[in-house]
Amino acid sequence: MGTNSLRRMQSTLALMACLAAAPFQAAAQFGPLLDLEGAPQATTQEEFDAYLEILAASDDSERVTQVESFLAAHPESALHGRASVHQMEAYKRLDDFAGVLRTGEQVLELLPDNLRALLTLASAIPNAVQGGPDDNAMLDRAESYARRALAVMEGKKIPLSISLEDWKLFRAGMASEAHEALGHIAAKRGLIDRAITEFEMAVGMNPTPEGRQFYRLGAAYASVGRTQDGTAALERAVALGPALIRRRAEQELRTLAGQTPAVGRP
Amino acid sequence: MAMVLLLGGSPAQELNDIEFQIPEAARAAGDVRTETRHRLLELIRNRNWREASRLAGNLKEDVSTDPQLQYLVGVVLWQQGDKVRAIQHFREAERQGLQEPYLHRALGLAYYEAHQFLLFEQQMMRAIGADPKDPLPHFYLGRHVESVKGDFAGALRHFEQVVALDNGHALGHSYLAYCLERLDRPGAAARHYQRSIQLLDQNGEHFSWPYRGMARLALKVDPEGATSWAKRAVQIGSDEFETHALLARAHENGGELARAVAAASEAVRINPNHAQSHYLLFTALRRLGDRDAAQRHLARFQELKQAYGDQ
Repeated sequence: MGTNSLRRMQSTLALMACLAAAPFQAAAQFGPLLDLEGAPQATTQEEFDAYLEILAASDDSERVTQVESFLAAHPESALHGRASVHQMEAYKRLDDFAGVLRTGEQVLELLPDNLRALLTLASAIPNAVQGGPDDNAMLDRAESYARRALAVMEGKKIPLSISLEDWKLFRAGMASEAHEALGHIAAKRGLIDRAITEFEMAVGMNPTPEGRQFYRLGAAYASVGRTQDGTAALERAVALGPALIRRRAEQELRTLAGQTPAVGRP
Repeated sequence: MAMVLLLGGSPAQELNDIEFQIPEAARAAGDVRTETRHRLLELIRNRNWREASRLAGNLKEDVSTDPQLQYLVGVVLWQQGDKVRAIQHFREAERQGLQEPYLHRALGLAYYEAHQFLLFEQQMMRAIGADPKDPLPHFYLGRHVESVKGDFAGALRHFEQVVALDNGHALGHSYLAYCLERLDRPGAAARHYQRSIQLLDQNGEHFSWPYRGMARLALKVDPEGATSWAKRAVQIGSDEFETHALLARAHENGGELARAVAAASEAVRINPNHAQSHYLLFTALRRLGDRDAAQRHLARFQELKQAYGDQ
């Protein structure tokens, strides 16, 4: 073996070190394939080609179509669950609630502990509850998904390539999302004190402050007359944005003195 | 885990060999695509990724029917971090008939990064089929079988093949020795570690693995020897937490607790997630009477075990 071989090895070591330091960056490319649950194996190159077409899709409508094609061509694929995760997320970005619900539950049939599906469903369902006869049953389902997500992440074993600090941040972000969903569910049930507790937990543990969570907390405070707390939270929401949240928070701030704001949306 | 332990080459590095594989007929024809290939290859060799990316981005039609260009564009995309499209280009090169070992190795490694181990193995077998004298695919397969599957007997066969094809393959000897060590054949392991060290010395190369192996082999039978080998491993791999962790174990074995603490502290400075070094610090500091510090390391050890399990 000459110096070339060693140089190659060192170069690869550096590559692997970069990968190990940025596991979620890698996950961003291969998506659910490289999530913490490990990767299922394609058995043929054609099967993996079709999976890559899902990842390479130029927009979410195309992604949904690519997943359908993949599942039709490879119905027994071990990548089925992961492909459905992509489809669920595409539907979420397309604001297609029925699609999210259908594909999210398909994912959970195949991968019962999939955190993305659990959290996506827990967050999406309360948004779709609009005073119909099935509301309670829907909210019960959403709550069970959020609680299962919290239980799964608590017992999760992580690969050595992910640092404990990175994992703690990642887990805190996911736990925050679960508590936000629980707060939203409680608000929909009219349990505002409980909603406030959950929103406070969501805001308190999120390593990346989110305007949406502050907006929800501010609106919940406002609805029980905690004007000062509500104002402070809504001002944070205005500062954090994005634009839609900023507009809604500003509106809440304007009406805070005399009216009871709506809780929970968006 | 899988990603961490695959050594021996990356798709971009494989390009060292590619120039000699461009067909002479195409070279003589002086066609535009050949010129483009050479320009792109030159940019890649010089690691001028910005220009390479610009050139690759402008190729479009030229790429579509030229498998070597498909391969080179794949390499550029890989370096740019667009790994999905890189694999797609490697695949297209393969579909268009490119059957060179470098393509199979590159595509195999790309599959490996996507954790597609079955496809990785298929590509390495194709690389072996394309060039039975090339030790690299055997080396990659050995690393995979040893580190992902934990099958040391299976990996041993691959590394035996590596050194049979190239007895000067220092890394091959190192990992062959490691498999022998794990299969409880210390005498044979020591011989291959020594051979690896000899080759590394001859080539002026630095690789701590065989020194670490020698230190581990000596731990139970020769504490002084273990410390000496571990110190050499630290000299070579001073930025590797494993070398410091091993030195800590050697010192602890020899009853040098303060030195063990210093070495283990360095190991956890480099890698705060190294559970075994935290445990060593817990036991050594407790014996030295520093109970508070010992407790902190025990708490960290328990936290790491909770998060990672017994990996």
